[in-house]
Amino acid sequence: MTSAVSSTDPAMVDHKSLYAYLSTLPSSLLENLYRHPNPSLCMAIFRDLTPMAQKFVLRQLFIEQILPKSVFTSWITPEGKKDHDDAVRLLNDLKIWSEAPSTAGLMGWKLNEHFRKGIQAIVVGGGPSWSGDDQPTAEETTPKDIPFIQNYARERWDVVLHFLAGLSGASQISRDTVEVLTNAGLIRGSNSTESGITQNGFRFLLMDTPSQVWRFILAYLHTVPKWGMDLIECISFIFQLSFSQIGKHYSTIGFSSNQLRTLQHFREYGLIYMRSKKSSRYYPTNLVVNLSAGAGLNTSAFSEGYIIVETNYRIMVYTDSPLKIAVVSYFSDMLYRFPNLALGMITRESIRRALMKGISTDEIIKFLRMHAHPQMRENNPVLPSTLTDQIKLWEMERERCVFADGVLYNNFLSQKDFEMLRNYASDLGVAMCSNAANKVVVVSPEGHDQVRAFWKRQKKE
Amino acid sequence: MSGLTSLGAAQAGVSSGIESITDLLVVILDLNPIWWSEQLDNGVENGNGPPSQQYGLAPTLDQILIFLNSYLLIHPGNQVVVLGCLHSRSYFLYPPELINMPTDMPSDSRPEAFRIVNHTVQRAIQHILLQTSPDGEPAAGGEEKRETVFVGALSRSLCYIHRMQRESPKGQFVQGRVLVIEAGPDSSSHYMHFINTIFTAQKMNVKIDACVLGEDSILLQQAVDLTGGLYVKVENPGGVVQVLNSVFILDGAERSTMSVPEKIQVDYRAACFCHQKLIEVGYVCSVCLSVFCAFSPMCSTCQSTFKFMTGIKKRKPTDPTSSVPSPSSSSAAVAAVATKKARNGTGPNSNGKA
Amino acid sequence: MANMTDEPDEQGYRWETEYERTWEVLQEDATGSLTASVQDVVLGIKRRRLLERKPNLRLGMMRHLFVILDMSDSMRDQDLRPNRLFCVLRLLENFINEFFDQNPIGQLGVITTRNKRADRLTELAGNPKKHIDALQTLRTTDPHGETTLQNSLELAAQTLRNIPSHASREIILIFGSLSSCDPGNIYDTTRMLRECNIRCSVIGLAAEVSICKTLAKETVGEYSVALDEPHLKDILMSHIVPPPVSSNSDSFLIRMGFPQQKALDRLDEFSFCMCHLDQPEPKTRYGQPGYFCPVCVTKYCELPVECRVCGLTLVSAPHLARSYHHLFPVEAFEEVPKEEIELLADKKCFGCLTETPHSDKSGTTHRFRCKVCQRTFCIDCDLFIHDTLHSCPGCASSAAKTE
Repeated sequence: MTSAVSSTDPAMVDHKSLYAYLSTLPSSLLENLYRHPNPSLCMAIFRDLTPMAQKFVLRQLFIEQILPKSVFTSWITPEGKKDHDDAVRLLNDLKIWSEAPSTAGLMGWKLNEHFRKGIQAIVVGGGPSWSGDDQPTAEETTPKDIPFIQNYARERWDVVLHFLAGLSGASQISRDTVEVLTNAGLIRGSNSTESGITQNGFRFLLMDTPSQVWRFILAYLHTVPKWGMDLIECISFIFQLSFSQIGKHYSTIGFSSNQLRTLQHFREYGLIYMRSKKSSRYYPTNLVVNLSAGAGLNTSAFSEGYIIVETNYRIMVYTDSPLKIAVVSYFSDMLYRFPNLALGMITRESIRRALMKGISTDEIIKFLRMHAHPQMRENNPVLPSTLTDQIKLWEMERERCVFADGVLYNNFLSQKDFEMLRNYASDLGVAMCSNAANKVVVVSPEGHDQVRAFWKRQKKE
Repeated sequence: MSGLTSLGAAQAGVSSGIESITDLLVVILDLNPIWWSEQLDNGVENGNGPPSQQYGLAPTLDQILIFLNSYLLIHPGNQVVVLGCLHSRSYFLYPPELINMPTDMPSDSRPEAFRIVNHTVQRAIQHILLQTSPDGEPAAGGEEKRETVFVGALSRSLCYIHRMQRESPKGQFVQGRVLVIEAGPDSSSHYMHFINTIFTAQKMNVKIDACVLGEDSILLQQAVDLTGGLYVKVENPGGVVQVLNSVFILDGAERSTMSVPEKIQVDYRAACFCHQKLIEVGYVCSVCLSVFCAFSPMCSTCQSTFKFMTGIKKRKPTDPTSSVPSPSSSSAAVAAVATKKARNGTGPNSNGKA
Repeated sequence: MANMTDEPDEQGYRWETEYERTWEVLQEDATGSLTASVQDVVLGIKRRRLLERKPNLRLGMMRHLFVILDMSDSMRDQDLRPNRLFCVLRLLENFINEFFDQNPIGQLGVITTRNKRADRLTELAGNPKKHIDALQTLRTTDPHGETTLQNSLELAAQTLRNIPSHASREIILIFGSLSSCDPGNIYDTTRMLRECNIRCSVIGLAAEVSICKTLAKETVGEYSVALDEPHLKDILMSHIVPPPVSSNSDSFLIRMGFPQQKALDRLDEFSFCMCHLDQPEPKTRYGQPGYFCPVCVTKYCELPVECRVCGLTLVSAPHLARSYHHLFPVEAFEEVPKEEIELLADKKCFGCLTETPHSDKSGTTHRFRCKVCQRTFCIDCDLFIHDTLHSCPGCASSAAKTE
């Protein structure tokens, strides 16, 4: 059965994981990625694998010969069958391993040599260090501390979000950024005059910061080839950044022009901090560090909680930021504004409005929990269960109709014919609904052929 | 209807209040210098034999570090703690207890976070062994010192896990796990500490895994069995990393989906306090629960004098409700009937005054 | 109601005692916050409990305990959430698990009293699961009528009387009502209980009731009235530690079996186990690996258990050892005096490497030292060691002493 309310998303937003993105890349490109001298990319990909796939790689890491497929199935228990299948497919999709005959002649899985070398370099060491890591940078006269960098990152990222929410004009933001946002399907139209936020844009705003950055980076990577920049260089640079340490500064000496351009872009988004455009050192910010870990990390580091929701659906937003208020108002009715506080109500209408914009209730609940005020976090559960249940019920209200394709059988000549066919169809489990008074049966498309054959057979007799 | 049930499920997930789980792996390393140097000597003595049959501390440590790196690699949230234990001491190696965090590290292809762990552990071990070997501990009773007491390190690691759980922010839970890599033979001293520690681990839901390089360890087998961990005896010194990386890297959930070594049969017989021999049937002091293999008039532990119990078994009825015929002795069956009668005679006089 | 004049040893009425200025203990810190100060007080209370614990008493490890649960009308009261009965049931489940955890060779039974009757819910037995299952059924039973103190005590005494004298006999009464409906003179029962050496402790849920107090006093039990749920839990948990053994009880050597777990070989796959004989589904009755009684080779899947065939008590050695910590508890740590704190070579807690903060306001150093091994610990580890671990990591790490 197909659900009629399934939202059709552009592929961009659904690239939740690195895997989803990488599997869209051609295999030659993947091969080049693994071959890249900087193993950080292998590390990022490895961390993104399913746990079982990780274990498969680790077990094979120091075994040079090709293991037959049966070995892998012997490693799992019956409960692990599904995980095993997923892992095998995943590793195959990402070209981390490929089919090859083992020594015994059976088909086995062969680990990609470059990938193996990359992971080995990470766990064993001994290889050349990551670029940028070891180059002694000139002594910083006034080193920036971590709070400063975090603050900077938040400010810059908010500028992007403000633009997205339509709260500030395009003057604050570079053309390249607009292009990335358009590419990501977050805003409409290439020229800023008729630009507006899209359905995905709304959902984007409700996400936690690491997910936002992650989607944004993916969109950025999509856009990079259009600017004539080398994708691999860019990807590996991003992952190198993501494994750097916050509060440390790194040198830009030896960077290619492409990398410098990326650096400038990232400076705009707050992913790195540079004192000036020409500065020869940069600080990665908390936005980019551990980027590849995605949304799994705790998000409290990025924003302090500011939302209180009560059991009577009243929502209090302790903030001055028009952006935060705007985001909250996507799914609530704002009633009052005070300095540092806005008050609203969550109503059936406001939730339905949000649902119609394509925001799901899970996203709303996740958003509320994520930004819950520290005092709310003391509660268990954090959000009042009346509220979360009610929001879910409001969503389910909209899903009362389920649409499915079917084949209608009608105009039966006799009740007996009708019953015979109906019984046959329901025995097969393909009858979707039937009405004895009108003598109609609806059969699912999968069962149609069989039922029709049966009917023809019967008629002949 | 399916909608409603899914709502309930979502609710159940929320109400537990745990949003994320961080894994904390504590590795306890046996650093007993005597065992390790014996291994080395043996390797030299029968130099014609296959050299791979001997463990060396440095190569084994390298393999363990690879395992630690692999563990850190799996998930960015994973944390490791490393402890080392000798015959009568235990040390935190990472986070370091004796030395400061090294700051000068040659960089290579390992990520910085991994290198910090690796170098700290290596230097802490160096520090400890340099301290130990020249003057060392008094030479008397050198034979005893082959044994390793990992109990101290084990209880310290539980303290540490307890601290991490205490300090973790609300909604986050630290799931601790302990891996003991034991080389030398067991020491039966500190058995009381050992058993207390194991039960604490069981209560805290901390699994204890054991990777044994030397001879089988009965203590560790018990620990593993009681806490639901895994026990592996490594046969090949070069294969330590393979064992670690294929078995001990699996976390709790994965142990049901991936095949793991079978459970070992654990010997739970008690050792009597008087002769230290394993017994199947023994006598237990009613006051202090000391175990004896033969009847004695006085408890050597708590100095209670025992009355000689005649017919205690007759007074103690077997379960009268069980319909099992008692083939062993007719007297027991008689006793059961007798008590049944007695009970019926007096009857549960439970009716109140209405 | 309670007649205080009978008890000259009492402190007198609460309102006659010295006025306690509890708030004066609290002091603001530099930022004006009370949190640190409150924490000090809370930790202080916890530590005091540790210090009160007396080591090396002769304890009655073989406990035979009846829990008498009031199921009268009064248990519907909602002063405990959701009501008294449900709250008590929930805590009791926890209690039973802990009881068997800490008293591996103890036995426990449950008696309920409602509607002027006393019913035995479970017999004295050593399997926590059975009791908990039985308690679960009470959730659907309506509390009703009046309690009967005498009948329920007599019922418990009937069984306890036959227990050999080396074992301790105990009753814990969880009492929600303020009255009791008895067929005879309750003081006769009290006397009988004392003569039988049965220790009765009463946990009141409502107010102090004189007869309960007398009962507890006469039988050397404890009487306490729960203030709220946490307090009730504390009281219940205090009964988990085995009570000191009364002087006139005898000690015995008990014959016990330490069965071995048998490997799964072909023969065993078809062996029946005695615990599942009464299961309706035949498949569940056999197959699992189990423990075999060393005397009569009967199979059981769980320990501890009393062999149904030969009556031998079967336990596992670690199980027995689990209760050793009552007999050999970790001695309370002493606080490191202020003068010495600077001299300490190791600034970190031995257990968890926490660097202890110095609190100078209250004069405590938050560092505690084991008298045996001289290692120092932070307050949290101190509590953890004494409450849960029951062994000092410092002593466990040092060279073996004579044990």
